[in-house]
Amino acid sequence: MNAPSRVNERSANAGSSVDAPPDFETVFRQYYTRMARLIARMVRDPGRAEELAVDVFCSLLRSPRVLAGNPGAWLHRAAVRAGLYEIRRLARRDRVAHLVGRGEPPPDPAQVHEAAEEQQQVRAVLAGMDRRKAEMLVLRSGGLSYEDLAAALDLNPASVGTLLSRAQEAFRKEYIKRYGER
Amino acid sequence: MEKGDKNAGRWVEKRMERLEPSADFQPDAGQALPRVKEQDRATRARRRRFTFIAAGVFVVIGVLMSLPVCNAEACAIPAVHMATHWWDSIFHGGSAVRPTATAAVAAYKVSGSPTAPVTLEVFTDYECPGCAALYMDAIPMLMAEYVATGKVKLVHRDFPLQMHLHSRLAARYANAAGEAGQYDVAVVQIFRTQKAWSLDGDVDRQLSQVIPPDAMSKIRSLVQSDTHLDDTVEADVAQGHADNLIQTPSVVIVAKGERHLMAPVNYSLLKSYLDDLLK
Repeated sequence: MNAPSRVNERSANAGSSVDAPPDFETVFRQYYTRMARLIARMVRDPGRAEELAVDVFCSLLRSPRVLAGNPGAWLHRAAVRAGLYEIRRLARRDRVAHLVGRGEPPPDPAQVHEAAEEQQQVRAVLAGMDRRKAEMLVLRSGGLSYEDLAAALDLNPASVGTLLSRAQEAFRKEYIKRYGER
Repeated sequence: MEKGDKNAGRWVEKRMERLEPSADFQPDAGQALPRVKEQDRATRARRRRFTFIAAGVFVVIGVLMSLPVCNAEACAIPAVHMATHWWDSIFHGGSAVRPTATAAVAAYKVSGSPTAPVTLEVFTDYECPGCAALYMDAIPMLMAEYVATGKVKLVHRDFPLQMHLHSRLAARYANAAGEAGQYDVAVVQIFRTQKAWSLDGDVDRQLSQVIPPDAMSKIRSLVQSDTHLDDTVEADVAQGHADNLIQTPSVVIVAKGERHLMAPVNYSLLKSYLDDLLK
């Protein structure tokens, strides 16, 4: 797991002159790389992950109230939702293509190799899970503490542990159902 | 149990760690910032276009609602006029004449037996093509089959729409003809020659082809000077609003003390309805 990241940088920097709301560019430079990498945990294509990160920051740009509040928590939530939405969209597209008999083009060797990877299996399980649980798992694996998870997902900090273990249990069950315990 | 939870947690975390992107993937905020600004500009432009188009659509809808639609089948009453009427009925106690029962009607507008069990009130606008079609096709059959046999009493009511420039004048001529004892002839002639007089409003010329000159002189005199000639029209319009008319022609069937609005008017439907009522 990578180094813990904070979703509430303003409170972390308390004591300095942080009362004025940060401007967009400052927030962007502070969070962009982290958000793009968070989305890339869910989306296979790094280019697409960056596109989605840009979309998330565009939404932030149009929400001055969020920018003046706690943009870190909001960004984590928006980024993880954008990533999950994307993998669900792709899963749906594959299902429809299969149903209408318009199969995918034959995969190239790199894709065959990638599909066999467990990384892809984890993404497939996340795409099929309850959105809230999948969000918790992705953010937790992205290095957020319980406190930061509570801030990002607007949860009671006291219940994060319980909710997280439920999410882990749900993930485990779904994973074993699909791929067996290995 | 707690140990099991910890094991499950470690098991899941181990798999989630596999999602860690490659160390080579280092998104560059410096390159991405102009993309965000460009995308934001494009989105704002798209929103402005959408707002402009939506405003345009609202304006067009507003204009279309205030300009009534008129086709061969029927003439719709403008939505804004209906809305005004409903507003008045709710908040201002209704229009000036607000009949709860059937409004009085001039005797010449009534055909058939006064004791007929069913009364059929036909609301028309003289410039409405659907009304002309009704009077040329369905009304003669209705007269022969139901009115002449004493089963139905027919009442012709005026409902001139504002969109038709000459329909009030035509109604005035028809009512003047009624005062002169020439109502039925005048109504049929006005509807039959609708296409001609609706261009220039010269109803007089069309009526003078079928009405004797002495009656025509009386009609002209009434049209020019009778200040109460339109009273019957106003009473009919008020009755139409009370019946919630949405278009012309419309038929209101009065039977067993109740008024039932039927629109659009279709003779076969009307016939089956009347037959059912008369059983």
